[in-house]
Amino acid sequence: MSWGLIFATTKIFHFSHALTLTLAVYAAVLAAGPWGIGLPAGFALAAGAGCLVGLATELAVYRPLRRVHASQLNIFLASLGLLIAGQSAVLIAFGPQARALEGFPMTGIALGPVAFTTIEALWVVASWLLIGLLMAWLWRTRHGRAIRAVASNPELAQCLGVDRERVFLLVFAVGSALAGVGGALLALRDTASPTMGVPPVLAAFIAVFLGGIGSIPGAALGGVVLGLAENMGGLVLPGYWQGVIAFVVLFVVLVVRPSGILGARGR
Amino acid sequence: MDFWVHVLNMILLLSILGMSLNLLLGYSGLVSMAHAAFFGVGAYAAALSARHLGLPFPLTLVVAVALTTVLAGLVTLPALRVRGEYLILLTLAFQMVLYELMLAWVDLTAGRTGISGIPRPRLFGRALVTPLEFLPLIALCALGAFAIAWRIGESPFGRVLKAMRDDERATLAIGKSVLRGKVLVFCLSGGLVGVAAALFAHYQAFINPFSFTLDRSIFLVALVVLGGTANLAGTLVGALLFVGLPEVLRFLQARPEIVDAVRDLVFGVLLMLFMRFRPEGLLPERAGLGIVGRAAAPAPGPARATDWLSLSRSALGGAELPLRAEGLEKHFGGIKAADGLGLTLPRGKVTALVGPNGAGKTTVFNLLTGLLPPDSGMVALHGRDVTRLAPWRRVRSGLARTFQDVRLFERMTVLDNVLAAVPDQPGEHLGPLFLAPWRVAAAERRNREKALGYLAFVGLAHRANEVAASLAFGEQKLVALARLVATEADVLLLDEPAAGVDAQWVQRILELIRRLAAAGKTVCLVEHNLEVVTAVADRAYFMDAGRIIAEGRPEELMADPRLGEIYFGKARR
Amino acid sequence: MGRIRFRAAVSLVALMAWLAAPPPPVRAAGTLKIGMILAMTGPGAFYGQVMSHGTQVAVDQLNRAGGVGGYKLELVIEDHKSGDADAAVTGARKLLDVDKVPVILTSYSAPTLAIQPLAVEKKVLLLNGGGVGSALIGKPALYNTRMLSSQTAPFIIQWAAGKLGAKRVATMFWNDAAGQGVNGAIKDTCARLGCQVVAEEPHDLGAKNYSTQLARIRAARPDALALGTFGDDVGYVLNQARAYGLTVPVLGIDWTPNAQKIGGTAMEGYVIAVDRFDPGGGDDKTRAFVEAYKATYKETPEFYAANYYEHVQFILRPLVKRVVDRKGDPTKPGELLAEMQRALAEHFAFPSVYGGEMQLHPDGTVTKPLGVYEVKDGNLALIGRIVGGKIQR
Repeated sequence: MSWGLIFATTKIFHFSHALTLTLAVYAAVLAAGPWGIGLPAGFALAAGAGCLVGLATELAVYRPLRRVHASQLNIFLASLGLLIAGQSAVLIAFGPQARALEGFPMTGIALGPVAFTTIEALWVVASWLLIGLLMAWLWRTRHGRAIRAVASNPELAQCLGVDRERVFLLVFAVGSALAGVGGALLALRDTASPTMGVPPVLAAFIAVFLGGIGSIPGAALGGVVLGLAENMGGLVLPGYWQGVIAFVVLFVVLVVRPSGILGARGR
Repeated sequence: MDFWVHVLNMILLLSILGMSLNLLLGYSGLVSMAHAAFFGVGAYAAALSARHLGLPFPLTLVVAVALTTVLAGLVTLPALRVRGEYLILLTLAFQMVLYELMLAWVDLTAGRTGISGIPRPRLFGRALVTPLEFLPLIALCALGAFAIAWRIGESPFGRVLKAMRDDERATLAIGKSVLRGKVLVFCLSGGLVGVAAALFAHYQAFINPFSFTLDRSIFLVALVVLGGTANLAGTLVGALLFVGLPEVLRFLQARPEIVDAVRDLVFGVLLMLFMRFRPEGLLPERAGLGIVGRAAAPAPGPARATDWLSLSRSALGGAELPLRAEGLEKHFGGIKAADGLGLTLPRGKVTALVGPNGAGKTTVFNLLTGLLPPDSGMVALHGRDVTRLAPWRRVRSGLARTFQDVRLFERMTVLDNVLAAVPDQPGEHLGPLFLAPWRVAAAERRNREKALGYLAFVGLAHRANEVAASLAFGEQKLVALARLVATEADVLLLDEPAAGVDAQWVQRILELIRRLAAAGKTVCLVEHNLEVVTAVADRAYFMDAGRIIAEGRPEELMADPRLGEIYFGKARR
Repeated sequence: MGRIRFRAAVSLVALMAWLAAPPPPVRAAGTLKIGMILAMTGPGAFYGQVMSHGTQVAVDQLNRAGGVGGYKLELVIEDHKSGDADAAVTGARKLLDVDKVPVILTSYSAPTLAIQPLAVEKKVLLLNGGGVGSALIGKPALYNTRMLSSQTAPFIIQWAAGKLGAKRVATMFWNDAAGQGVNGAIKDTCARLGCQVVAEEPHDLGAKNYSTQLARIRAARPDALALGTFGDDVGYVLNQARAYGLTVPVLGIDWTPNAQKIGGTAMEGYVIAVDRFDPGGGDDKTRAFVEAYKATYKETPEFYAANYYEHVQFILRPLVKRVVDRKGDPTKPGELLAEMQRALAEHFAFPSVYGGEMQLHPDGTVTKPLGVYEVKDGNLALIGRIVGGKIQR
């Protein structure tokens, strides 16, 4: 979702979103662990750190590149460079070991044949809450409308007096904060490591392209489709094929309907 | 010694991969994030065919090359329609699928345990084991790969690829098939990967999926970009630096875990800095280095240019109405951009399409040239129905156009821009390129003279070796005109040939248009500037809201107050 | 322009050539270099660290005592980035060619398999104390000093069937040769002991999400779950298995402190059969090692540190001595490897840091003291010993 928001608006293939997420999660880990200020504060810190990293990325990397009219591929490569460099920095600073994000009780919940954990329950509640909030913000507020305007037609939006650069900043701030929170949620179960950001961001790519670029409900739908495909497929195929399924689904959708499930036809 | 020879071998293998990727990335503007996966498939193909089928070395190489070629060709199927971020994502998906398959399909690939004991190749009766024994073979293959990549990159075919990279639509408009270019270059690139893959499998004697990760694909892309796109020497230098230097670092007495992380850190930072300050890489592309080298430009006079014009005319049949369109319809959502539109263009005359903004004039060009398929209706060229013909084929049948926004191939030289448009070049086909180089060279000399002739015709022969993007806008329009003539089409559609051009250039352009018509070309132009229309057009169609509402001599149409109201009334709003 | 570029290329090549020139023979007579290829970076960097620490302790001990047979020992460590075969091969080339080591200590299955052909070519002894894949058996020049997982797996089924009375066993294992080796051994043992394997669920390494596999295992209603899973994954699997309401006993062949951290309370009651190093047990040899290690690194040595300490202290030292006694030169390639083969043919008894002796076999496998352990209050507690293929309390 957060990656989709950034991509739809800025058209930047923001690979180093993975770095934003990782750094934010480490902030949360430090907060909940060594600093001992508790998990809720850790989540707030993750959002804040994510926001800052995202803003810094936009200001220090993407904006200068746009100023020299770098091609999309070059921006993508710069983003990759940032990710590689950032991951190594995290590795040097924190070591390669996985670190747990402590403080949330994980227990099982069984509803008849369906079993899940409190963390997964939290994931479901939190993600729907965040999606709802984001949608409300995008559709109900002035800022949100400006973002959607830039996303759907940048030239027109500029004609109407929307400052593109400021909208980009806003999008990076909000998107990166979301990524921070999302990453911290993930880390509750899967722990934090220097390379943890890449799989969720890859999943985000897939979800966004499945749903259709520029369509935020589409990204959410893409995520649901992806999750269903992986788990349904997992029931038929051996579990270790899950990794293959996601990308096969993406491949098929790109071939059959390049604009995505909810995307506009044509173009 | 063995160690450094081993490092050299790895550098050579990596540079084969890099050159293969450079063909895509540098020459064709196509991204592949799946090169490591292709590499893996090739390596597994070689390893498995050697282990299970007992094939000897040169045959396993053939198997690997065949498989990677086909596989890369498969990627193009969906990639034909997509570019930019879609292609990044698509190849990324392909990379991940293949990598996960290598891990998950344990029965075939032995998963992460890998395949060990891949037999060493035997050449001339002795097995190659040590790095030094392998070096000649690997160096030979690298040299071959370099030769092939260079031959392709710097040939007429490479010129089409570069044109495609700079502007796909304009490539179609000079009568070259983008589809063919993409499929071929992906297959070729895949084939080169197969060579490196087979060598790698036999050299290492052990493979597992970790050599074929997304990280390695990313590394390859970075290597090509940092070394220099569309410059094979740059790729070699890139491989030397980014594979060789880390091995040197090995000898610094430091903790390996820190050295590794610091190296990645530096690599990432370098990548960012290069993108910002030197996006063309260490060794930049050299524009215009053709296969015959930079031939000293002879300065042919205008008479010679006319020769070429008359030659291209005489090659064509002589219907008096070369182009006829009937009942063309095109809807965009609820808007009718073309509404039962019909027109004819007479030979040797200049016809203008005029009308207010949004009347659908450019749409008519797009329908005629096939960039847009009509909902219904028919286009006939020389009496032949071409409605279903692909855009580039229409150009070959004699119907070509220019664009309002010029669309030159910006990173190519002026000469190459024109040269790319010359039809029927043997060097665009792989057969002659590799089997009959003398024919290619002869044709290239001829075509080069022709192209210089066309440039002389528009008066720009002296700028032939400059990069197109460095020219003034008016000069670019002239180059576009030369490029149009170079297609040897006899029906020429000009989209606002004089728009945005200084007055001094306008006169020159109009003069050229008149001369084209006088030489027997059929010219149709869309123009807003009514003075231009009256000055050059023999007749005009007046369009409004997707229909033709009047036809006649330009002066007559201007004089019609009803049309004037439509034109200026709408224009004012 | 062209000339400058050409010159740049020439000077680059010159630089490479200069660096490539063989280093001057600085090696003092009587230094024996020991090569290591370990996971110094990447997700397994923890293992690389403890393995190199263990070796370093042994080297320091021996050098302080004047070396071995007059030879000073020196470690040269290269990195295989937690399983990258390319990196391992390049590292091995450097060790063999530049450092000219007569012996390489490796870890992980894939890198070990990747460098094994080089070791054979250069007649260099390979010792592996980390990787447990069954593909490591019967490779020339390669000797494993850790019991491979397919050797230990039968005992967890003996335990499950004998002590827990399990009739229906489910398995979950790494989808690679090591995991499948375990699964195969479990199935064979089950067939022999009359229990039934009701579910077999392979999973990807480091998968982190096991909900589908666990759902299917739950549906098969097993009495026990046997794991062919290693490292951190054990923690994740147990954590999720318990969270999804799978309450049956879980048995396995691997346990690490990190997995314990990840799994937390879900690890309670997890039973493993392993050639586990017990820092508190063993004999004088064990205590000497533990004390030296604690003195240097301020922590209790763990399993992998012990294995690599053992390589130097109890395998290389006797081998070097034997070579020197024969008036051979242990730094010459082939000498140590040949001596190893000779020692094995003579049934030479190598001491073990675990206490007592270990038996190295010519097919590259080892027999070491095995124990059955259970996680109690976050630590492993010995609940049974395996002697002569039988479990004893």
